[in-house]
Amino acid sequence: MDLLMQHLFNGVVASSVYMLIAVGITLVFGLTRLINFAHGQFLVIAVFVALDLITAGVPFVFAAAAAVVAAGVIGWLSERLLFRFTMDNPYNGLIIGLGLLLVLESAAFKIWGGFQVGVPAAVTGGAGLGDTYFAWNRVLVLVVAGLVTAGLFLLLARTRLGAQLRAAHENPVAAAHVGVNVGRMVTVAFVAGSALAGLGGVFYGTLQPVGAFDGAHLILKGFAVALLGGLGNVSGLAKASVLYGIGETLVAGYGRAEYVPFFTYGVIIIVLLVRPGGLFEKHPPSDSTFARSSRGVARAERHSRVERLLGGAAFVLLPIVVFEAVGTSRLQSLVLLSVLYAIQVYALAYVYETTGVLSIAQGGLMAVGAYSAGVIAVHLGLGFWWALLVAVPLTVAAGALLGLVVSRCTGHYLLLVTLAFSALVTQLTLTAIDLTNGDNGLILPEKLPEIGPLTFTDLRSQFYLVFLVALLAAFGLRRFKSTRFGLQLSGVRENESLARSIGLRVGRAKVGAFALSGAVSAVGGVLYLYTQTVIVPTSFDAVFSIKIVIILVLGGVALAGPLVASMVFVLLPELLQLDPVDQQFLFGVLLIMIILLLPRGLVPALITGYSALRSRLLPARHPATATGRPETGGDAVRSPSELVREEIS
Amino acid sequence: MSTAELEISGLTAGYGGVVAVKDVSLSVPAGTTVALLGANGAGKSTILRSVSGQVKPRSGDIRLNGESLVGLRPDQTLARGVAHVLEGRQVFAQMTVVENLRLGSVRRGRDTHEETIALLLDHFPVLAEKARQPAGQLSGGQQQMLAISRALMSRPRMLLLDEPSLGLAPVMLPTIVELIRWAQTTFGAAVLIVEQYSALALQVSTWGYVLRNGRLVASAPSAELAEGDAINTAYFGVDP
Repeated sequence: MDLLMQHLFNGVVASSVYMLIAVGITLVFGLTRLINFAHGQFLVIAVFVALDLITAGVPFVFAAAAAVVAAGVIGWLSERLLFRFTMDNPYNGLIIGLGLLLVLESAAFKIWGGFQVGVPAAVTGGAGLGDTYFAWNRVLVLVVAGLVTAGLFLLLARTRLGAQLRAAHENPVAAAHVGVNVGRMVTVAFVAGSALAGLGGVFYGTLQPVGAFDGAHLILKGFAVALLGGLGNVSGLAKASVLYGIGETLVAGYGRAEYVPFFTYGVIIIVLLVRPGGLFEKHPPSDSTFARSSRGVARAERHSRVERLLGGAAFVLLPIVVFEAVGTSRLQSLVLLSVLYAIQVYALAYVYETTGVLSIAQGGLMAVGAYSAGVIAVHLGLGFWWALLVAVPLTVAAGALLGLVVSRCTGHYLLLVTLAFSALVTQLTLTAIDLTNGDNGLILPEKLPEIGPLTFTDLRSQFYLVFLVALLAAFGLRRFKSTRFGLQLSGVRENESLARSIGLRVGRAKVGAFALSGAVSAVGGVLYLYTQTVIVPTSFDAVFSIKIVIILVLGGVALAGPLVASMVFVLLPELLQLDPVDQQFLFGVLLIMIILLLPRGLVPALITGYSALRSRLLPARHPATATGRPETGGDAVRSPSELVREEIS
Repeated sequence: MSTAELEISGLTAGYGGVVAVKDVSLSVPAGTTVALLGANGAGKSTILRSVSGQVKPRSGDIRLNGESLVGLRPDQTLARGVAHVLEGRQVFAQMTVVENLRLGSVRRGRDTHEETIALLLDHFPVLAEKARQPAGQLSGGQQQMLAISRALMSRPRMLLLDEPSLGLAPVMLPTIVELIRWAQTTFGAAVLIVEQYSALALQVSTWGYVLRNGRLVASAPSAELAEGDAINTAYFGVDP
């Protein structure tokens, strides 16, 4: 029984493929500080392209080459058409990447269908050596991937192009001044990285089947490796790939295939917790760009009290108007659902506003709340109040844990760790079948309790209850900002190192913010369970978390923003009668368009539009404010390249 | 017929809502060194950045040997003969000294490339000694030497120096003065030097301009400026 050698061999082969993926990620990241979430989907598309061509009779080599070119072209297009516009703000680039991922996933489904497919291996057969079988295809993958990677290393180390790429990576401004066309280097990195993803995809396809919606999952694997090696550190990658590939193969070989995601997400979270700069990184990359650029969602402009009250009330009460206006209970239940979403958006907005972290873990937190309530209701037969009593502390603890990991890392790792957290919770709810009933979900045997004379058995009373809780959450979190703790958080958000220097405990502040947000998520999650009565793991998966982010981006952080945006988001697909895949496509397009056209969100844009209209119609009452806000010393912290861009724009 | 290498006329430039330079006109005759003096925030660096294309001017014109540079990116102005040595010794710390030098000529082709490296390393034995070491391991003065040498790799017609003495030990200053003079005679470039430490700048230059709050307040031969009050006025705001 000597399977160890076999596992090691297979692990090394897998490593070589992950190496290709991770090199692409790190190449793009190194030059642009951008993590392209759609990168994994380039891989998926390469698999389908290669399979189609091979099925049509094209020899493997040409099919693979075509797939590589296809991936390179998609990478090139996405850089030229999308990411180019977000270069000064990697955070926006990240969201664009998410949007692109959604679009490409649904497009792949439309074109190639929902089945998982593989790429026929270029060579068949193999040779046995003792108990170990060396399939020729795996040997081929290992050799080619190894050669390509080695070639890339040589290119970076020895050629003029490589030197220019490294220079642009290390100091873009200085590189421009020695004559490097930094913009072209970025394009080169995108095309090369995407082409490598294409090659990795073809090889991956010969080892494992791939489906239209595997992009997100693959990018997380790629990230895990890239992170392990230290993002932007090409030489650390080789070691990291081998470690990860062998580890994963051993987990699948000696454990179960379902445990592999735990391994992936565990690696991400643990590496970020212990060595935020990666295992093989001596000097973690500083990435102060992030703290500065995370202000994409703007606050509302200043208006008179009356205007604010009227405008706010109109927007805030909109769900009631819509709920009472729509006739069918189907639509009414969707309005209710949108308010349930809004609660989660408030929780997310609170974390975003206070810490500057745009978390993709909201679904994970909500799942902890909803599932803990569901489990005690189903297995212990305990009711609503018990559910709250258990769910809130548990979710607060989960939030605090997440906050702890988040406070240990900076920049892009933040997003990654929240995504990993979300995926980890989903995987947990899928795997712990005894408790959660896995894919089949939990069906709630309990009902909402009576409070005095009030009962919550019909849709209308449930809607008003949830709506009230949403408002309480929004106002409560808002009030909380002016407390001592809230002020500390503002300080942390504005300038983390300054906050640290005046003695604020930055880590503790972030943990607190996530914990508080967890409490709100839990209440929202329990209400979701008690009004929807069924929960399944996919109700709270990463896609759900991304939806919550989209709604926040759409609505902005203003009080009414989340409510209005949630309604648009939930009702629009229903009114347009879209199937889930079309919905996903629409969300992706929407997300990209909002970031490119209305970077401050839809509702703030409406408010700004109103301001502009008002200032045109009414003479300015305060000449001092009419001339615009005085410039504060914000310029000092901006990088010259940002300044140049502002000049150009 | 002007013999000016660099001719700036009516330049206005700034960042966001701030105007850092207002209506500045100056010229640098071919083969000479001109100093740009003024207090912190007077707009000196902005002028250099406008010339090299890092900042786009609001209005005004910048001509190198008669050809307008307005609207070009830094890599494009470099290709036309402008080399800008940024403030604060911007070497590529993880790359070797020789790699840093090679990068300096990416826009120049390979023909004169090894020759120039040999010339520079010959003149700076310290750099030759550490040619294969990462530039980050050099001392501050050596990094400044490397940054200037790297700019010379492109064989510029116009060399822009932004605070070459910044952060260096006083003992290094004569070396920097010598380096600038050597660069000028060997490569025949015109030099525009920005310095807060005006003694150094006036020592190497023949003409000086004084900026205050983004405007030119004085323009005179360096020797005159070194004696007069114009600099005190610009730095401390006292009228003579």
